[in-house]
Amino acid sequence: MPRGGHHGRYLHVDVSTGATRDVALPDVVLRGLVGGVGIGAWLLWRHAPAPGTDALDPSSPLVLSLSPLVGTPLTTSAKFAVVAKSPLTNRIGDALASDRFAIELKACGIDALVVTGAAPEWSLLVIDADGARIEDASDLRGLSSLDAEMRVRERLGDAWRFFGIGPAGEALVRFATISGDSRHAGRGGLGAVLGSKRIKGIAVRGALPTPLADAARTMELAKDLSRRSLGSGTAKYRELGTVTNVLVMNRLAALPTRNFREGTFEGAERISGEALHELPSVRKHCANCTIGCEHVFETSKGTKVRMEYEGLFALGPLCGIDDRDAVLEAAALCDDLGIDVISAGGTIAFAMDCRERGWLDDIPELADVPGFGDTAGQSRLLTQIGHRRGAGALLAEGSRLAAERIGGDAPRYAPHVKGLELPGYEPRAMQTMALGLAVATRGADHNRSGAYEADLQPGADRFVADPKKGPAAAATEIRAAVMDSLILCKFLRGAFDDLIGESAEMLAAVTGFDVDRDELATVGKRIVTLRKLYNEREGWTADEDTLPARFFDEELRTPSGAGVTLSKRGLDRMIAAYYEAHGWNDRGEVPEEARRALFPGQLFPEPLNPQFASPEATA
Amino acid sequence: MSARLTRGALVLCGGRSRRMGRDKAWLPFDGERMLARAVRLASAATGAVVVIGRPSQNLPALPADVRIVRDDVPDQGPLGGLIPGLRASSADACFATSCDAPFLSAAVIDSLFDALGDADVAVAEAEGYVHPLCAVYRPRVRPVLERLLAAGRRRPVSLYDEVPTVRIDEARLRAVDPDLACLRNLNDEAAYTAALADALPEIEIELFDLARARAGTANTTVRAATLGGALLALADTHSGLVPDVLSAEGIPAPHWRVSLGGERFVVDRATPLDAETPLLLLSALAGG
Ligand code: SF4
Repeated sequence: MPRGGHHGRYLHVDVSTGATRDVALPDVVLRGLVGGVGIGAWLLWRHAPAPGTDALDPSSPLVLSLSPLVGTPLTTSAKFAVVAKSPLTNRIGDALASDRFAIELKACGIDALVVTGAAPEWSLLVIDADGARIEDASDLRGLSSLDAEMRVRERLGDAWRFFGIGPAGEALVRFATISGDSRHAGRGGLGAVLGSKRIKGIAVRGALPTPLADAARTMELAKDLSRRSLGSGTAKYRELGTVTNVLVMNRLAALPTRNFREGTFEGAERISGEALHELPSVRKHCANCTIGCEHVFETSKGTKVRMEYEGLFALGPLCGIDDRDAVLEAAALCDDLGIDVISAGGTIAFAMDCRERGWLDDIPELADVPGFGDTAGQSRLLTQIGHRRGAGALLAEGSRLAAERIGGDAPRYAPHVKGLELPGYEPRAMQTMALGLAVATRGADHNRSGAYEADLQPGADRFVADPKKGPAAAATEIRAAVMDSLILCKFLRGAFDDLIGESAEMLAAVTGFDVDRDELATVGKRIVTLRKLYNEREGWTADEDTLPARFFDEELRTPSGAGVTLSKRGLDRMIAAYYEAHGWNDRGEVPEEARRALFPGQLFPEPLNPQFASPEATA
Repeated sequence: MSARLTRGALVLCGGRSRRMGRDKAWLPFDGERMLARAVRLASAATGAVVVIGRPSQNLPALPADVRIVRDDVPDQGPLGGLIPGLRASSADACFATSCDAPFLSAAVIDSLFDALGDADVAVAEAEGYVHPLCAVYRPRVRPVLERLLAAGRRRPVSLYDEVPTVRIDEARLRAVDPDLACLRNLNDEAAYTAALADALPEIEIELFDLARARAGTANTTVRAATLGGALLALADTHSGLVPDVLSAEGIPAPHWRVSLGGERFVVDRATPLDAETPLLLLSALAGG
């Protein structure tokens, strides 16, 4: 069968000089890591400078990794992964984004783009099927990503697509995003990495279709997938989106409220998805998506905002705010500034908490931080963070570094794992998710781990840290790695009976590789392992696989009124079971034999700079 | 002699359910459709069951060994339903009931069979009425029934006047069924609601996300003693939940979960419920 899906090459641009290199990607790598976060992690490793190099150092690479399914008719496949060392965690950072940009970049005839260096002046990286060039972007400085996008399309033409940063990325806010058409690669501060390269954005326009190994079979599978994408498993996303999770989580005492002081919020109804749906709203789709989960709400001021559960919880209950207009306006502000809503909400909620505990009284640069529930104060802080002004100069560092500056007991209350702020799942009320959050390579992560699924299973006791949950958490990481390398949207997962098996069929039809379920499951495991190995390379130790200490000794009220904590011993036992399920040693390290078994032959990424090769990799 | 009789049961469900306004065979009652409930209760005290429905009437799921036959001529009243039932049954005598009797008791059925003796019919008589669908019939009455119906005589007493009949009076009935519950029928919504209320606790159900949108309400109540009963009743009263949230039989769609009071997720349909603990219906597609 002919090969399809991949172009077999990536483009490396050194934006210091504008030099570009076209580099072959061998089939063994494309088959072994597929695309998305898999190929992204492989290229990150390959281009990585010395271990420990600052994430914002020009030599640190930023990778945009497409997937074999981009440009095919398979629904929800117009996605790509952005991978770099995260300035927030100093560990692997990866985030997905979607839309037409993915299709255009792939149509430039590449499977990935690697950007290194730093441009002498603010620049725009322009890529088409003929190659890449650097253009002046001084006129785009200070603009939101969306405004910059409009300016770029006026300049280059409407068919061009853009992916870039707002003011926060320019200011190197550690949780700045990169976005195109307001769809953000949100987590981990990848916008600061692009900002550190003085690249305002990337404009792309392609001309090459994605080759299909078996076009007829691909069409057949695409038709079937589209049909299933409109079934019961996605009805919630289509009709309501994720915003209605607020009341679900609230009822389960799992809605993080006032910086995790409580799991239920008395104002939940007022900022609930149901309350949002009383506003004028429209539904939108990413390119090539039959589901259309995006619900854009209009505030009383006429601002139109895409809203998801994560933004709603972080800017609402987490900060003690129950004014739906204010939460929507805050989300729009995050969009304009280009900052991650979860980290922004988490960091501000933490600062508000410190204010109420009286810990900020002697810290002049945080004089501006209000207490919980102050909508104007929240908005002011968001703006200050986005421009690194006033209190924002410190808060732009994220809750971990802010806590270190505040000192005392503050680090117990900084809501992060490895520096990444916690998403909207109260760990004491969802203790398998607590495990998923503690061990995830990206930091507190709800995208690369679906451990919450185990907490919502009949028979599971979500209030207990049970080591039996270790394998379940490990398995969800593998499934997520498969979806994130193909890439298919997570919202499609309800449409599959056998996610990995059915994905293997699609991958085989598109690429011509005769992959089956087992091979694809191994790919998932390989990707999880490679991301872990990257963290080990950057100095990870098992001490990082934990949660803020307050969860171990402060009680959360469950729906019955009982008090529950997360047992540290229980968490450690779950972590041990999780390491074992992945085949790692009791310190959580990947044993050399396991690495060799997963990366036979030339599969392990060899650093381009041999000086940084690990002895095992070159042996 | 009656102890050696082989017992059968006839469950008639071909009535028009006019006052109820919907087919009584399908009414949910504590996790079962009424027809299935009547079949279960009747068969507990008899043997093989024959169900008699209207031609082309859609019937709820029944155990595989239940024989289903159709009225020869619909709308002939209870006597009309007995004819194909007695023809299909191979028992020595059959207990006959309608499908809308939620409180059939084995004790009442036993006492009817016990009273039959050499007679052809044993029928309950209480509160001034005979109850032809709380009675036992021998198959040999079938030719008489056919003759009566052909002559347009559809009143049950016409039969009892012609064949040897034992009437079980109210006192004897009350000895085994003090409230005469076995004679209760679900003739209209009020009777149905009252029967549910007498038998089952009221369970509060909280609906979330798509369930709330589809049902058009955040809270509702149903009468049920078990999880299965509550979900079947919910699917019946809130048809907007079907099929994306619940099947018509009250089975949660994949990714839908039921929680008892927000504390634990339950799936066993026999899980007992109590009026103090609400049921939560929510989607497990929480992440993303
Ligand atoms: S389901 Fe939503 S996020 Fe996923 S591809 Fe479609 S519109 Fe985009």
